[in-house]
Amino acid sequence: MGVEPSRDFKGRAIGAICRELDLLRVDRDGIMRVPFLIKGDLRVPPRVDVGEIRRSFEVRDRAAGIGASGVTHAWAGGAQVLREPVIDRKTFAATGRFRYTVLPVFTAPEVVEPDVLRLSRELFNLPFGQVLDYVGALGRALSDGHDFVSQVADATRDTAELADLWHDAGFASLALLLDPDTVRDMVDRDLCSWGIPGSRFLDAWTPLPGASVLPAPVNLAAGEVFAARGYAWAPRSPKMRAYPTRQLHITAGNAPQIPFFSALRALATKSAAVVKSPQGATMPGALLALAAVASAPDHPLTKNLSIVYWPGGDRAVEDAFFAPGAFDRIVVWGAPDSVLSVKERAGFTKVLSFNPRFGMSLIGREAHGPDLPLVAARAVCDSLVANQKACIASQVHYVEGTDQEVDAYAQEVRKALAAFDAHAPNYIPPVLLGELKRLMRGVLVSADWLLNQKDGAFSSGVVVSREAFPILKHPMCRLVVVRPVADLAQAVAYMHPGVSTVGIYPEARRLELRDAIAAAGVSNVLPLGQAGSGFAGQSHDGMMALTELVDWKNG
Amino acid sequence: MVPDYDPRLLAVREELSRLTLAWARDKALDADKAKTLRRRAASLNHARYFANIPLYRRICERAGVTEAEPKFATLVADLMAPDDIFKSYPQRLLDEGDFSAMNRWVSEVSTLDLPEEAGAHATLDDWVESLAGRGAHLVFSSGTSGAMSFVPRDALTWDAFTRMPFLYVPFVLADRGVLPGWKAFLARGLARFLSPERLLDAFFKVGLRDFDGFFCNFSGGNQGIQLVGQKIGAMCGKAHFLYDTRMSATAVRAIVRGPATENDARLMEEFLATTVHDKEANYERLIREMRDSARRGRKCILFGTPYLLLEICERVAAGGALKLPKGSNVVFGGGWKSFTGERIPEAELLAVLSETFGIEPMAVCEGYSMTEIQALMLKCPHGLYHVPPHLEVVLLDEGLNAMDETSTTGILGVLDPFAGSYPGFLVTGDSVRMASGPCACGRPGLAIAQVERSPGREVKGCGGIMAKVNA
Repeated sequence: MGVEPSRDFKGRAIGAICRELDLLRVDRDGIMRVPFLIKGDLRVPPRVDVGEIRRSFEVRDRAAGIGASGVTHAWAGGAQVLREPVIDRKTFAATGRFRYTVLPVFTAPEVVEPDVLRLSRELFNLPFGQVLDYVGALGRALSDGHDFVSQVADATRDTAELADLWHDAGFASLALLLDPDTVRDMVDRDLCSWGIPGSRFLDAWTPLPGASVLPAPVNLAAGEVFAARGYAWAPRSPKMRAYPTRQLHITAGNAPQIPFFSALRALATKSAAVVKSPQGATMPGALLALAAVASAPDHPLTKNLSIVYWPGGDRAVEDAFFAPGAFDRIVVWGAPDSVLSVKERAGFTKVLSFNPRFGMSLIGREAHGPDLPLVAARAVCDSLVANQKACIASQVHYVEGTDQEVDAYAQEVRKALAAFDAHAPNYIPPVLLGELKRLMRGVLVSADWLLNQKDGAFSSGVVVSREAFPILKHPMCRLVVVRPVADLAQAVAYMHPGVSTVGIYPEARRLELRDAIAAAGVSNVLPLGQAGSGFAGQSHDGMMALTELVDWKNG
Repeated sequence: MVPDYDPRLLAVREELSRLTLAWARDKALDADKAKTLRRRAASLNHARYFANIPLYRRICERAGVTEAEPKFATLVADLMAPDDIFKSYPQRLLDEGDFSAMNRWVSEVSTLDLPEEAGAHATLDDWVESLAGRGAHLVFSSGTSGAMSFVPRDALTWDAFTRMPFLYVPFVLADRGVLPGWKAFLARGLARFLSPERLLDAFFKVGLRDFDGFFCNFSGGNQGIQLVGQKIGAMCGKAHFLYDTRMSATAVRAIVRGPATENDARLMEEFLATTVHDKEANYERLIREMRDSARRGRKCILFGTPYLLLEICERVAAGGALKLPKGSNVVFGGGWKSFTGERIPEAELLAVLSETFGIEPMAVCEGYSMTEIQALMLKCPHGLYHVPPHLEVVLLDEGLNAMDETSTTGILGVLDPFAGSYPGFLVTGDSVRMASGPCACGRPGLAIAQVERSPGREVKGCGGIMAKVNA
């Protein structure tokens, strides 16, 4: 394993750094070496022989239970190795070959920062303007390295479960996410309080004009008790500050931008952060690490940023990370068991969880006219956010109308999905094909299935179910469940805090139902077709995320 | 109410029963013949299901399969249903107590043709009981979601469910040395002269009369593992149950999903009173009765799920040594279900049971089965679950495609020739590793070496319910 702390990468192109250190390139054995960032130092994994890697996975495979899904992580040659199946992009079938991502190792004490006084001096008092400069520099490093980023996208495409369209767009958007103006808007709006832009709270103890400070009863009593001593209560001049924190971000891989986005929140709040890349998307984090050492290696934000990976459940790492005082905030995205496990074990640290949720669409009877194809297209847009893997993606469409109207709507959605399949072919892992068969022959055997197929295999589809079904069985692989309702208001009964987003057509019906749906626990009640849209400073899962990430202080 | 059986199917089953008996008795198997018979039964069952089970016909139509005999490969690839099919009724029907609609669903998922009008039933239990009175036996199971599965059996399938395993289980127990030598000798002898039916009749009359049975079960109710306990209990000289009452399906559902009516709430309260509030008193009674049997020199059979057996061991240990008479045995099954956090290694469990009750390790035996099949597999002395030759098993990959015959690990699929009233071509929720090569115990045929719940599949059934209410 190579640590590259003394190397001066400043001003160098990320592609050149990778060529020199042989990183982010797939070799003839299918191995790709991916670096970590450990508090500003680029940590490069050792070279590991493919035979040793295969032997390690053989041992892990044997030790895994027979019911376990494929083993994805192993230790070999002093490195961590992730194993992903290679998918033929023409047939969208697994090839039986594997790609191995070799990652360095690290220990928890290397990345946990106990010295908060040092952070206060070096990082927390950094002017926000310098944060924006830093973000701009990172963005330039990635946009200057556009060709190299495209090569990385090419090199990782054959293991991507997302369709090529999303995979490529994900990489192309990384530089765009690092936009100083957007970050300023995000901070000024999210942390805005008392009508004062958030960046001022982040930078300094900020006076609160018009705040009326009241005494405690003890102060009133003291006015009498200590009058002889000259005591008299006087209101203070109140100030507030949004104080940076030490953050651990455990991110999910359902969209490749998530680790990037989560890291950006840490940078925007001038916080020390450890970001865990998800198993299926270590590349965005690695590119961010390279951009940091190439553009600002000595910047306090780089020096207090770590981008790493460890297998979920590794007690050697997690016990230290979840111990009281190790971090001030833990952000966890992802699967129900991951979120639950972190919440249970990090009882003394404030945890922000972006829970597994799902979206819905409500289609009013007004849709059954000439606009039906357009309505179906908008509904499909909401269903295919991150190829239906996002927590805001619509999984169920509640449709008002007669049986014939509902069936016609289902046909339009099927056609819209087919058009999308043609434009962006869908990869469906074998396990999900199995889940689909279980649904078709099991709990939804009585429903009507309208399928799109490629070479005889499912590519997308619609199932019209007249009865409620268990949402946990939804495979989220371009399958839309259509549920007829006599009145859209009936669908409100199916809403709860597990529903993130509801898209509604037409607008008048949305305005009519919005309060009831919000009251049921749904976070976003949007016009149909807008589920995937967003803006800087919007709420996320019912929270203003940056507001939760900083520590609000009075002083 | 029940369509007639094709005499050819009954004849194939009869032959499979004889083959199974010979396999049990002599450890001999004409594997090719068994395979031919099973596949013939599958074809005949396909025709029966296609003609009489609307939901099966729907699966066929989606796959483009007609009534004509499909190839076995087509049957496995396209027509196997997951066990979820037995919970494909709308949950609201039970929430609303609409048992007429439940009758319609049973008629859709099985060959049973139930009347449109179910009549007035106050509870789910009443409905299940009334159907039993009409010869329609619903065996239920409940998962962690509270969505219960109901497997509908006609008289013939019910008969196979409750009797078929006893055609071979005594011989597997004999392999483990659990049956006295003379009894094993007698069983083998009778098995040469009696038909399977007559042998079963004889076994049910006298087979376990010299045992007292102790069951960590309910004494009534149509839930899978409860039924096994009840059936064994009926053969014992005396039977004692941890919960001396019927297991209420209404209460089981209400515990997970919440009671819908006052009646539901009352049944749930009674259930919890028995299983939670009176738990210690029930254990005390069962252990007292076990000590009494041991004092009188009566051999004992102890039966239950692993977690409950561990609980009983703790209580026995706290009350002083209990040595069961020679010939006693412990049989467990149902897995750890929602008590996976309490799971202990199998060897440790066997040691605890053996030590607590003062019996040989060989007298502790694990069984594997599921609500949807007419078979029970007991571990042989060499740790394998031997698949009786009447049951067809296949391995499926995670995409539910048939795996080739050299594969040893996969999702277990079963095709049960004796499932006459419901689609018996089933994908289970279990992953298995098949044994490779012949078993040292000498029993031929396929055997399962390891069973685990497949990823993402709901913890269900027998042990699950018991675990919940005892938590």
